Amino acid sequence: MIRISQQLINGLSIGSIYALIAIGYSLIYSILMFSNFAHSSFLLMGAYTGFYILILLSSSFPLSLLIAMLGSGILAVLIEKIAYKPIRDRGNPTLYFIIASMGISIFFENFIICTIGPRFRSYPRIMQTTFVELGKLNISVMDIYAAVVAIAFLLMLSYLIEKTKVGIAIRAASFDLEVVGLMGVNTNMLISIVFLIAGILAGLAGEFLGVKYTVYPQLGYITNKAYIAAVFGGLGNLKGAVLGSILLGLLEALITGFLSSAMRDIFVFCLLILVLLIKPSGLMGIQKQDKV
Amino acid sequence: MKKISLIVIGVLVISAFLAGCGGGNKEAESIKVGYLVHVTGDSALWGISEKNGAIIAQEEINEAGGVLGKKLDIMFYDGRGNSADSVNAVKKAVQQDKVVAMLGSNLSGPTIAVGPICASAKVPQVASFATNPRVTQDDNGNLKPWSFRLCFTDPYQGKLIADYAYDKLGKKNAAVLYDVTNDYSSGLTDFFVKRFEEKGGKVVSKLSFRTGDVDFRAQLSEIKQKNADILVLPNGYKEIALIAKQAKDLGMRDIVKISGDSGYSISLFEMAGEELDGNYYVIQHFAWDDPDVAPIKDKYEKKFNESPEVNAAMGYDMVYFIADAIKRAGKADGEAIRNAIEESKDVKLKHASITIDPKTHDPKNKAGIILKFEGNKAVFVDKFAPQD
Repeated sequence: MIRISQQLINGLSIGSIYALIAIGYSLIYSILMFSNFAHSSFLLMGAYTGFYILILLSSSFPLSLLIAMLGSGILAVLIEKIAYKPIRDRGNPTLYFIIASMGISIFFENFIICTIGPRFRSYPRIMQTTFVELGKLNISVMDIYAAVVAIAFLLMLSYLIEKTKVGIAIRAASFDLEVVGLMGVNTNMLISIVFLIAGILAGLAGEFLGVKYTVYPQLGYITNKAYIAAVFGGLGNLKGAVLGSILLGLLEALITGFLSSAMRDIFVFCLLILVLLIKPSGLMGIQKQDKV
Repeated sequence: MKKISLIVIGVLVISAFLAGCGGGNKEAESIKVGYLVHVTGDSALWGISEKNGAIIAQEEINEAGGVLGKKLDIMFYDGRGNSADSVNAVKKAVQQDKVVAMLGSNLSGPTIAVGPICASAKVPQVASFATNPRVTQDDNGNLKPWSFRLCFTDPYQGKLIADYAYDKLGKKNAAVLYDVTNDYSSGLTDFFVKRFEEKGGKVVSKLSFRTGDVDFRAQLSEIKQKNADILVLPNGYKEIALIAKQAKDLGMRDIVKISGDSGYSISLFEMAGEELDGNYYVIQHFAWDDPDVAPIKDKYEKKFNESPEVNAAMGYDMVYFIADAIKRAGKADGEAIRNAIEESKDVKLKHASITIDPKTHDPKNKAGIILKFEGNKAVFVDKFAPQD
């Protein structure tokens, strides 16, 4: 029982970080119908911004989180304006977006290697007590913190999508961006807002990853797993992204603990393939013609 | 459009011509030696140190008149920590730049991958910290005639860890957490397990992860259940720092950790100083407090304004080693240099005296140094060689 519970906790803590990243993938996919692989750059931006704010200004942790989120959000909006808008304006096919986004992610990783350097950097110690004991279980304080903040942001996002005017526009755009534009919504503005949200969440995830692990130029690779989680849950569906992420985190922990650590990824991916064979659009996805 | 392409072609032609001329002139007055270093990617920290150490040695040698009356020209190639990029880099080195010897690298995977390229170009390869047996021998145990190394091997290192844990630290129940996608890590694990079980110890848990993983709590939770008294970590410093932190978060504060030669970097103190303090042993090829090696550190700090990794001393010694081999060969020719390397006997370097065993192409009887983490320093504990 203890073993199972400990692994569930481990899985949930990984899953909640996946969720913050996967939401961004799904959100952008739902509007622009392409997978934004530049998402890893937003994450890196958050991780490094938070790190330098803490190191140089020795600010409080919440403040550094805030600045990291803003930094990533602004970067996301800029990338959209510089790289994607020209493609959109020419009406080029989805493939161009994907190629551009991959290019950005490679550029950004190497940009960091060239400017900041390739070495691993550690965040300063943020809290003295690192874990709490519940009977025989150990829960890391940072995980609780991260989970609470993640849940708070997901609730806020869900309120924004469900209850506000912007949210209605976003939902409408996910059905048909062109028609929304014809209805008098400023679609450029709307897309910027969507990128801002995706960037903010990625920045949050980035700083949490940096604190829990370390900061290094290849930190963005974790977005691959989160992207898979988003596909697993159904690309374009926000609830699906959260569900897929939590499931993926739990699966990874349980398989490592109870089956085989070496076979972890094989098992996880076989399960994913199985799910996609039965439900090609993912757990909660909507049937669409072309999935990229 | 046509104009532009004409200009481009013109520039290419001119630059090719110039490069040809430049190369021609240079060849007459310098001996070109390639050095495969990984200055980007996961292990960049070591690669940069190794490169800088080699630069110091190159300057010293050239100031003292070079080798065979010519300047020694060490050309660095970035393998980016992976086999694919290393293969491309070394192809360029042997085919275009025509180096007479290839030094490096410090990683087993890429070094094994570039071996055949060096062999087919008849260029001897000398690895710095590539410890996997397959660097100098193929899968059937046959010698690779063109490949050498200056470090000890993984089987030897695995023995070292097992003997030290069992005999000196008195630990009987070991857990291993290793990288299943990494040659070094899985090799070392096998050799450790074999030796430890031969001695009568028990390996209570053997779990793995994949390169790039940053969360090891699932594995550590299992290890905690098994009540191991020593945790063997045949990994790089980044994983070791993360594992130490996460072990502490799971309440495994006191478990003793031990690792092979990849497990040490000065970054460890920044990354996991207090989690490793007092219960972490690491095996090294030499210690910085050795009076022979200390001057390299001073020169390094003066020149580059940072503390060197152990690779700096190895990079330094590698250049001296190849310079010595070229001198003994009497000419800058791959085959002659290869024979000279094979006959190396008691070559006095700063970190050790190297005798190459012609049967294995590995150094003979190199003792390991055991360091322990105490008070944010790596302290020398023991000089140790396994008894067969």
